[in-house]
Amino acid sequence: MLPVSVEFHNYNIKLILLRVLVIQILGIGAGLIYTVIFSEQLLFGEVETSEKQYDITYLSLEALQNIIQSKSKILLIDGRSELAYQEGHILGAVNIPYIQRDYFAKQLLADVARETRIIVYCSSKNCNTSVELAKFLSQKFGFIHVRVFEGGWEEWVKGENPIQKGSDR
Amino acid sequence: MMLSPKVAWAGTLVRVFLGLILGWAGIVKIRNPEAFIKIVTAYDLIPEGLVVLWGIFLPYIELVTGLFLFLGLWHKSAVLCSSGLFLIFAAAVSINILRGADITCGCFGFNDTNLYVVLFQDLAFLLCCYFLFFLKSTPYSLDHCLYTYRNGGLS
Repeated sequence: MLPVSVEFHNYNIKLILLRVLVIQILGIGAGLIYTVIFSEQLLFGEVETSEKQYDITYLSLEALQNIIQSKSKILLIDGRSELAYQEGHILGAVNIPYIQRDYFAKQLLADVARETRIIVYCSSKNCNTSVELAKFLSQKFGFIHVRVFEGGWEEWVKGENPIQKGSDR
Repeated sequence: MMLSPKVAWAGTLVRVFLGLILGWAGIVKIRNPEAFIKIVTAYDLIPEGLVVLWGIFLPYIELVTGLFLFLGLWHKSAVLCSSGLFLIFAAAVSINILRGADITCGCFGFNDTNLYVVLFQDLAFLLCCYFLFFLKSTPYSLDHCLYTYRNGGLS
């Protein structure tokens, strides 16, 4: 067995920090080389982070307002937490908190036709649980028309659109 | 100073475990950089212009740090690097918990989202780093091999 003495190095802080720097530089260097060779567009072009990547359609505020006003049959899903939902949500939305998506989706969507048009939202443009929830609903539950309201709750409230408080589930 | 064999072995296990965790986390992100960049954007902590650079380079820093830890090369420096990473992750997650943001973690896959669990994980890993830092070195590491090589074999 190898010796387990720990005093075989005369550690000095400058050397340790220099090596920290070398490790960082190696990491950045590896990233640079790999990215330049295999995915140059990441560094020098537009990064595609939305529709194409997730194969999901996004809705603007106006589009959502039009759909709601046209009284088309849609299912609006609020992907935020239960608490956030109870404090206020888009009128008519049901709550499937992303963390408990399995449980709530089974409870709420068991009898919903897979052709139903579903629109998912979360708190704002910066949250990503609506996209993940939309992917989950299409992939695991087989819903065909799942879209994401990109602006989320924040944009909806800013526009003084109809909201509802409390639990509707 | 000699370590008790049990502590030394625990150190080796923790080192290898952390190395694998960091390496795995890096590889998952490298395989899907766009998704990771999207998640970094969702964290809303870095200026827009730096998000892409952070999203591209962080996974490689994780991977290289993980490799150094796994191999047991430059023990203290690798442990410092990994502590820094876990500290950054814990801080980013804490800020978003406080903000009440509904985002996914982006840690090992892209579906894990309970930020409290993620924070607990990061703090546990940080504790492992603290343990390793004060061990200074562990058996079965490249540091040991280099040392014995330089000193003409095992004594």
